[in-house]
Amino acid sequence: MLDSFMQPGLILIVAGIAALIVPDSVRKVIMIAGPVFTMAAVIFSDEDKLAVMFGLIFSLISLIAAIYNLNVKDRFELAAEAVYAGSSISVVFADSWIGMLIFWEVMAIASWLIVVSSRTEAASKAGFRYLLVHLLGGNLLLAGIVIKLASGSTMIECLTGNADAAYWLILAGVAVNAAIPPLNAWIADAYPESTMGGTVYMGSFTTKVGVYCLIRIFAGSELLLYFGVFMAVWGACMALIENDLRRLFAYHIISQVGYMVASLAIGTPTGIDGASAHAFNHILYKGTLLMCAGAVISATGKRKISELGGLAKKMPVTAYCFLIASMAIAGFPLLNGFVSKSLIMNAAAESGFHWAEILLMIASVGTLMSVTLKVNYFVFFGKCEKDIEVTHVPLNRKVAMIMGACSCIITGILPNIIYSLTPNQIDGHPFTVDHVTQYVQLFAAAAVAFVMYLEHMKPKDKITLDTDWFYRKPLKICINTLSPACDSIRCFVGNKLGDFFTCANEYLHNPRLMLEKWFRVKPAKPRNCLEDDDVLQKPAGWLIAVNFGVLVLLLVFVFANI
Amino acid sequence: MQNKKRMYLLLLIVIAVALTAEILFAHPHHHMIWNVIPGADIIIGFLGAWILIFLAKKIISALFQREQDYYDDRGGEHHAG
Repeated sequence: MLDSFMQPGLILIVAGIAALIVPDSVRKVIMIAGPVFTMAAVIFSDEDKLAVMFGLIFSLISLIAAIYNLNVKDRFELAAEAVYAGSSISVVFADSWIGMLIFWEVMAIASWLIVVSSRTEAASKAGFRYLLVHLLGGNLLLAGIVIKLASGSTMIECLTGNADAAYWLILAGVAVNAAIPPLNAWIADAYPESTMGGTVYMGSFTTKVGVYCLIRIFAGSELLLYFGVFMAVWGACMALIENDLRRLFAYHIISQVGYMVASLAIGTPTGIDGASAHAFNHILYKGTLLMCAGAVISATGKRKISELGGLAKKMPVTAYCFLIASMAIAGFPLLNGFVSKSLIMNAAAESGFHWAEILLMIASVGTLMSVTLKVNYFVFFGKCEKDIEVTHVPLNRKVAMIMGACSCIITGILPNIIYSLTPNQIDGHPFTVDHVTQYVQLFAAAAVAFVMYLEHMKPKDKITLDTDWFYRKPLKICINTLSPACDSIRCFVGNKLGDFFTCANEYLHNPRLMLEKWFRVKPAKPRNCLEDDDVLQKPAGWLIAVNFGVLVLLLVFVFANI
Repeated sequence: MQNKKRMYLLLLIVIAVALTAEILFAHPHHHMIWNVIPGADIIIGFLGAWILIFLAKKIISALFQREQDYYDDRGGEHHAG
């Protein structure tokens, strides 16, 4: 059991706790050294390839995000981020159900602290909703794990093929983290309210830990294929109309996680490799996109696409890093998204899920339009009449964005880096002519449609309702109505009980009253008890007199005998 | 408008090159209709894009988009009566 807790993730957790107490200069060293040592510990660990792959990418993005956050002074935020990253790695390396559950809950609390660390009212409210949803997920997981433990299974195992209560409870718990609809709304609700660096961490860990657990526990569950494909298409559609920059990327996380869920649901070695490789690549390009979005929001003070425009000239490093990462997320050849999408498409085609293959291709088109074309055009490269004031982007942030963009290119040009890390080491053969021409044709044709509709592609300044509507509107109204109703029932019952006890008290103090009332006994003459010597004095006097007489008789009897 | 024409021209050149490359050099590994017929991906990309634009801009936007202050407390209290 102890082995479950002694893992690479602990290094980051300890670094996070240390960051709370050490001076600023030392904290910077700790924040960089923590991920580096964790990465070394992951590389030299003897866990299976899947855990090592996820551990590696988690520690790499922790390092890049830590560099991005070097100018942040808030020690609580930095500590929460390091603990969050550490606990995510610990979930990945946990062998037992209990170990997984404990770090799962630590993750939920730490990520909630990251959401609220931007210290705005909106963040506090979104954080509260985030915490409630994740505690619900944690409790579902706990219930499932308790059933597994009761049946004698202590170590994490694949549950595919079961259909018992434990299966469904653990699936629901993990589905909350993987943002599988309808348990997805927290992601678009909470992520945009977090701090800039916090969003980079959150976009990388929670959903990918969910995907990791789905791979380990539910690989090959065909039901998840339908959810995965739906997520991929629906996330892209939502992103297409979204106006808030970080909310748009939150929907893209759902869309990309959809690819992973669909791939792991296929369950073949290619499918498993596709899901893990896509998670790896996704963390790199989504991390870069979120870092660029954070840089834009920090530099301009604006978070809506409709308020931004023409930033490529004012923020060239951010713009080009964003361009590379946005092409990677769509799946352009020679960038890393293409490498893992090839595996996923191969998995769907080999397993005969041709409908999934077509829909995932259409989702790629959606990604192209909503990120690569829409954001690049309306935020960075399109014409803009507005003169937007831009402040300086700190050097550490530029370095982190460049690191992210370069990692997308390196893993895109040298796909064997990714393929050698995957659990089954299956080669996706991404650079065949048919693969490359397929994506080029797909994207060029979609771009024609985008240009045709360009005038209407600018998002409206509105919010899009999601499943959080159910607990933000009807549930709120329900509670607001039920609460006064319950209160009035409580008051009514309380008053009636009060009356009853007052009445009963009266009768218990003087039972004669009951006789008088119920049996029409003649009421006693009112009298003042303190002045009436009959009440207590007479019987007491008689008792003393009798006792005295008995004592005298005893004495006479005793002395007479002597 | 001039920009749009340039964009169309560029995209058509890209499509033409990709299509030629597919016809001349591609050896598809899978044998579904969109793997075998050259240029099928152009149709999937173009139609798929329009389906998504229609879904997002016409249906989801009309059904699920609200004003920015939709979730504000004032609205909630008003609803709660």
